[in-house]
Parts: sequence; structure tokens; C-alpha cells
Amino acid sequence: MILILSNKWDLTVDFVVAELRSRGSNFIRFNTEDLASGRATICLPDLRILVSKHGRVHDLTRDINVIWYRRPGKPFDDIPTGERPSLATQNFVNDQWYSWLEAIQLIPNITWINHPKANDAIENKARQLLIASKLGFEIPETVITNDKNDAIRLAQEHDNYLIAKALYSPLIEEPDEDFFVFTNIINDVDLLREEEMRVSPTIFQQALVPKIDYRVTVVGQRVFAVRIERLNEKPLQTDWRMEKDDLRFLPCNLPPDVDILCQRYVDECDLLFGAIDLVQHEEKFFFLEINPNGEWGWLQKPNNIPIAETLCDLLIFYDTKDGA
Amino acid sequence: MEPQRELYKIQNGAGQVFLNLIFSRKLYTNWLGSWYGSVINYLILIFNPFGKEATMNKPFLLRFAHSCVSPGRAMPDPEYVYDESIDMVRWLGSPDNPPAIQAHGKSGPMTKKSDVEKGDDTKDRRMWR
Repeated sequence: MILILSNKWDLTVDFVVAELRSRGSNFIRFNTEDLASGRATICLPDLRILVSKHGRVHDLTRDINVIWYRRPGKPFDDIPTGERPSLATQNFVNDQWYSWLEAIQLIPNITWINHPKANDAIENKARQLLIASKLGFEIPETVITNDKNDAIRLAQEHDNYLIAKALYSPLIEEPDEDFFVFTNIINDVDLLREEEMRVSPTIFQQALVPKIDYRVTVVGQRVFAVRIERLNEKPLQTDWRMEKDDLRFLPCNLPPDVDILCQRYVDECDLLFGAIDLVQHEEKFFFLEINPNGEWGWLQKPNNIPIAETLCDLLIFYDTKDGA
Repeated sequence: MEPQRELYKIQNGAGQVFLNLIFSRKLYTNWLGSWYGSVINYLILIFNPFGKEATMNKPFLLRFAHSCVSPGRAMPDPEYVYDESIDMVRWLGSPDNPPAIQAHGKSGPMTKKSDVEKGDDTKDRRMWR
């Protein structure tokens, strides 16, 4: 059986659910924010993991062959923020469930798309770039630093023109408001203040402009590339996510060597799925980063890109490959 | 652009150690009850003449932070409901309540995550925090 771990508002999963249902496949979707409303038991020493849904108890250790690890929900997700318990209590409960869910990794002979540890490892952007470079991708010259002078040196080598972005999650959740840090152009080194720089490391890279952005979604051995363009024909300057309402995504074919590199990259990272950001600059393709669990629902429907169908092929293949 | 500075009090130094030994929370918890000990400790932290004030700036990248609504904060749009029987979200804005992924045109459904959904990363390691 196919197990999908996500949350109930993850519409990207709905595309796959609809496809699996139309094919009559055997799957179960657990929206993990709801685990507390049913039975969830791990039995040892003979490992058994029992979860109830709709009054039926599933033994994950016996029933599951492949897991699509999407976006597991947290226990208080459905409760308005003002009605949730204290942050300390939330963290306590979240941690207990996180640990419980982590135990699913103990089930032997399961295929994960992707394994959480593989996702975790490749979230590190330094690792992403190093692997890309070793495989043969062009990468932008990069420093990851809290030292103003190192960033300035890089800027001086590139006409005082850099991009700056977050080394890890760009989301800042304050008690009353959230913030997101997109990729930014730095064209004045006076912006680089010593006292702000020291606080945490930042990624600085040569700015590749002019450029054409590509989002490449790799599913198993298949590669789906889209070229990202502004509707008004002006070139994109920095982070296309900042202009997401004025964009179009044009399905395209990458040069064969770049296509193969994308497949090899995902394979090298022990992933079966990955969303890679590339840019074309001066006729060369540069690797920017990979999102091992990147979003793709926004590509599927308006652009008729069959990512859900391909993902279902993969899930069904791993569910049935040993005669299960 | 001015740097965004934020003042944090950092208590340290021999004076703090001394005062904390004299007015330790444990001492007051035992003698006078925990609320009183807590109040005294709080006053020490505020008025400690030996403590050293230090400033810590906000990280550089926060200069460029844009306001958004994270998936953890946003609540679902009431026009959408999750239908357990089909394991999909339905849109109530149409009489036949179709699955949300089939209901809308090019812009797609807007349930709760629209602010940071497109192109957003998933951070599995810390997503529960």
C-alpha cells in the first residue's frame, strides 16, 4: 500500500489522490495534524506501528511498501493561533509527535519519496552547491559568511553586484506576524554593516544577470522543465517568487547534458523527487539550488505538466515491484 | 537604509553572579514562596547595577524581510472543506462542491497557504518548530 504523509490543506497531494483513485490504487492518506484524534501506537520489541483512520486500524509495518513524505501537519494546525496552548506546550506536543512519526523510519524495506534524512541532508545549501559543482554543473561563485570583508571581496570581483539569500529557512515567524526573506540584489557594499553581518551567516553569490530562470522538477527518471518569464517581457531581476502573479511558466526541453545532470543530481542525493532551480546566463546553465520537497501543484494544472501522473507511476511501481 | 537595531539585555559579570547567589530563586522559593522569589529575581534582572548591557543587531537579511502569512498561522478559507470521504479539499463556492483542484481556473484555489506556497521550500528538519 502507498502511504501519504501530509496535511489536509496540502492541495498538491489532492492531485495525486485524484490520480491514484482514478487508477484504483491502494493508498492511505494521513494528515498528521489529525493523529491525536485517533489511535497511534508503536509496539516493541516486535515492531508494529498502528494508526487508526475512519475507525479502521492500519498496521503500517505490514501494509506499507512506499511512503510519499510530503508536508506532515502539526497537532495544533487547525486551531486558531489565539486558542492554542502556550508555545512551550505546543513545542512539547509537537516534539512528541515528531518523534513518534520519526519511528516510521524503522519500518524495513520501505521506499520513501523522499526519505526525510535525505531531504534533511540536502537542505544544506553549501552541500547542494558542492555536489552540483562536483557533478559538472556551473555554479555561481559563492561565499557563505558573517564577515563583511569576505562579502565585499566577492562584490569587488563582480562589479559590486551580488545577491544575498538565507542559508536556511527564509521564514521568520514572530508571535504576531510572519516574514519571508527572498533573494535580494546587493549593489551597494555600504549596505553590508559589520554589526548586522556578524549576527548570522548569509549566502552571497555573484549575481547572474541578465538571466533566464528555470524550474526543473525531477520525478524518478523524468525531468520536467519550465522556463519562467514575466508576462510583460521584461527580464526577471532577482527572485521570481516575488513576482509570482506576473509570470508564465513555459514547458521546455533542457539541453541533453543539463537534463542528464539534473537526473544525476537527484540520484546522487538519494532522492526520487527534487525541484531544481537553474538559471541560464551567457549561454551557460547554472545550478542555484534544489528543493527536495519543492512545490509543484502550481505547475501541474495551469500548465498541464503531468507531475502527479508521473509521481503516481513511481509510487505504484515501488508499491508493486516485489509482487506486493 | 538604516540598520535595524534591537536592544537586548545581557546579564553577566561578577556582580550578577554575586547577586544571584544572594537572592537566588531557590532561596526565596524555600523561604517566602516562589512568586516572591520570582519577583525579586525579575527586579534584579531589571535593575542590576553590575550587569552589562550589550546590543545585538538584527541579522542583515532581515532588512529585506517581507511580511507574509505562514501556513502555520493562516486559517483555512471557509469556502473550502476537507472531505474525509474522498481525502481531498472541496470548494463550497459552487453548488456541486467540486474538488478544489478542479474548481478554479488558471489562478488555482486559494485555501490557506497562498502567501508563501508558490515556490516555497519545505524544511523537514525544523518544520515542526
